[in-house]
Amino acid sequence: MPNSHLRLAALAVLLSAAPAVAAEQYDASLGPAPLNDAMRVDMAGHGRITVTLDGSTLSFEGSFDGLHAAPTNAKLIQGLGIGVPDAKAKVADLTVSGDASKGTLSGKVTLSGAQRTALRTGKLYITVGSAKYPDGNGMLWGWVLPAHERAADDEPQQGHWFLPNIDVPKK
Amino acid sequence: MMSRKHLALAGVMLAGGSMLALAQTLVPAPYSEAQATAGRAAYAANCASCHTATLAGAGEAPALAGANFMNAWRGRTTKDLHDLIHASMPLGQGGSLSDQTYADVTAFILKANGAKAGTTAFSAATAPVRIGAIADGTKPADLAAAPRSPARPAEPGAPTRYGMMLEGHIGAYENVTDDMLAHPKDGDWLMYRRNYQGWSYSPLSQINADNVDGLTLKWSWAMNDGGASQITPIVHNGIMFLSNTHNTIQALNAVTGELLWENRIGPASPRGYAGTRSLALYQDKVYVATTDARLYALDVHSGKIVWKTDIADPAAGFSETGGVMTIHGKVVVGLTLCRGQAPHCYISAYDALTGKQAWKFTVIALTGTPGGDTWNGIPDNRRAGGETWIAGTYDPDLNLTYWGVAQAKPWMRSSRGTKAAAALYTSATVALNPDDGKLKWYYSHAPGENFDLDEVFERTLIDENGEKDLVTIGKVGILWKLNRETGKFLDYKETVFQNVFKSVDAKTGYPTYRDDVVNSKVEDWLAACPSPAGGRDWPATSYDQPNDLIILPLSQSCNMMQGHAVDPNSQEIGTAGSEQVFEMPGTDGNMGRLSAYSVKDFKPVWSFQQKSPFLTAVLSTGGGLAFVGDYDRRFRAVDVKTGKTLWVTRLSTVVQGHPVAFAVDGKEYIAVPTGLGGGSPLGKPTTMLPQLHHPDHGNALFVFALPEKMH
Repeated sequence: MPNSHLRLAALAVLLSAAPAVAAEQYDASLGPAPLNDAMRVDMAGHGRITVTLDGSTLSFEGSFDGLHAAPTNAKLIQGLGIGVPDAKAKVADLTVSGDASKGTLSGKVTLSGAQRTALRTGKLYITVGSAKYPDGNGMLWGWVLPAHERAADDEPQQGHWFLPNIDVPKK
Repeated sequence: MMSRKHLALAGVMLAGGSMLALAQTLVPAPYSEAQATAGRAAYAANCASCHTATLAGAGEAPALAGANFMNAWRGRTTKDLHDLIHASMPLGQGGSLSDQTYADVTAFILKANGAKAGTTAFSAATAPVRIGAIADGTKPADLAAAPRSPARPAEPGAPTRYGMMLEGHIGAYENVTDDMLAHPKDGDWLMYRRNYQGWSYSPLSQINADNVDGLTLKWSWAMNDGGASQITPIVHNGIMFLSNTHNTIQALNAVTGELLWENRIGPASPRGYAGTRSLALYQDKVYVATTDARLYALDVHSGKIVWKTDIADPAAGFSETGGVMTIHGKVVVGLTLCRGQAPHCYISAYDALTGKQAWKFTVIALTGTPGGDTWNGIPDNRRAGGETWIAGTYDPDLNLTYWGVAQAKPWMRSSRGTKAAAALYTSATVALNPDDGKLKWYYSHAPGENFDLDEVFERTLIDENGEKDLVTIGKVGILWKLNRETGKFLDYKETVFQNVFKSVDAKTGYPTYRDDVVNSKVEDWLAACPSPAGGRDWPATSYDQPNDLIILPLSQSCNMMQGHAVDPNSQEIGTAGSEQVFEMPGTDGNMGRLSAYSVKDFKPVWSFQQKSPFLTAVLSTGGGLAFVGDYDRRFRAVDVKTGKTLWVTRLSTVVQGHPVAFAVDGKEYIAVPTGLGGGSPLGKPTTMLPQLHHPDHGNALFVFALPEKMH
């Protein structure tokens, strides 16, 4: 076999043995969107959404409860920063269902390169709307952040603990 | 030719016609005159103590009439106004009044803004009407003519009798000397955070990690209700001095809880910032600043007033709640509720024997004075804020006293007109000579501050490797380390999530705000993490000296804030901001975070998180413990090295204030207050944690110790 064929064969073996890029894990803790005391009667609930980036595909799966109103829509939005919303910058609609007390959320979104960067720098967030708050910040919202260990009840955490401003890349 | 009588009538008709024409530009409002009259009485009883009788607002209580009210509410509806009042007022007791009362108060506020009464009473079911269509901010004549800063009515439930309630006859008492203040005995708690350095650390070790689970209640003492109670018990010679709300000072036997004397100095306090955070001792006197900005010296033996003096003109609407300190025979005190009224906010000192003012340092740099060019040229009468909410600390070797200064007002730079200017000396540390009040140095932590994120709390003095450091942490949650001889920036560390600064210069500590903050305009909604509850707020940190740990009672919440235009002719410069709160990203809704950091290198050692925020200072002790209390009525002791809870008890209401440790006849005690009232630290969890409940009364003191057989 000529040398060039041998080199090509070796390269093929190397490529086939290279591991696939691992999926990136994120999650979003959902809580009430910004509110004052008067709005609290309509905005309540908590949940957790598991978010996985595989290549360019971002997948969502999760649930929430403790609502005071049924969910009517869900969106993925790109904000200006972690905790800094920009309701006009919708990335995609997500699928939501539920009743006046609880619901589920799912979806798959194909992200552009810029949107993947936004994901990795904590700019993407989820909103869940209701009939009274269908747009803007919605009824519930939560930022999509790298998956991290949660603080256990009544148990102190030793050493450094997850802080988005320190542990989420800025670029 | 028309007669004079006819001419006069024609003039009246013309004028009346003009007035009629003006009145017709506003749509008749959905309330009745009788209802507004009832609403005025309800407002006086329930609202005026914070918002004033003329609806001008004070401190964080916004104006409810006039141009500043209209700037915030013109585009919103009568239903928005009613629903917000109903849900959130009185402060901390939203929904506690009758539905009729809330409707009547709403009607009165509309009338106070020039809305013309209709024929139908307002109720929660009334169809929403845009406020700008029915009101224009024109106050009725009697409200418009009222003095600028009328005395605020007392909060409902305040004591009705004042003066010497019980005269004391305390015999033996060791006068407190300068040396004792500089080197306090282990069993004493002579000042705000126990020592001049602000450590909030007691060397007592009888109660320790091995036996703290045996701690039992020895006595408790009910205190005045109403107002904001965030007290520090002061203990010397087995006598505990307590400040109650409504400017009442007591001395108790620290072992038995027996009342020794009580002086209700007065006045009755308005709701809100109604209690002083600390007293001070010197010689045979106890010193207190009252909520009407007066300073008193009381005789420790009897409780009688020895002298009193005005810190500022009480009629000008100033207050003082930050506590006092004594240095070299002088009582040093700050000032609060600085809303632009002359002579602005200042720190001042008074002879401890006579009360004569020795000096004052104005913390608002005025035109033509050093730092006066850091306000973007706004006129002096628009330069507001700069309160000193917390008493300072002191280095006896350097002879410098260190104070934090609050942010400028209004909250947001777009409302204020100062852009990115530092607005000295707001949001700064100032180092003053306590003998003459001269400024040695200052450090500006947040030039162009925009979100009520004060850098105003205790400046903790720590010597590290031969270097004299000053460590402080403000509402943003950034630990700052400065050289306290020169003010030189040394280091910083973010301890909670913050997104207001996009960067902090590692060499100078200079923070750069987010682009949207820099470019913000009036009426923009801006996000801020942390919210005005911080980060951290007034509950003091503790420096555990044996382990070189600083223990922080942190808080985690965020908000959206909207700045409103401020009427340039208004005499009251308030906060001019609206807020909506939300959970801090990355916290799962845990508002409470107790964290320990190594002071040497600012490395995090441990954190303990929970839903309920911590509303007491941290007290650390030589027994290897840190004590802290929270919004959900728990008071606990944790292992200072690991954060593990070793003992916890549940008290009668919110645990709020400054716990202390003291000893009498060889026995150690831990004292902690329960308390209510105050601003964001209590307000934010009330909004965000509706599942947690507590009584809306119950200011008290609880004293714990080990059973006799355990030591």
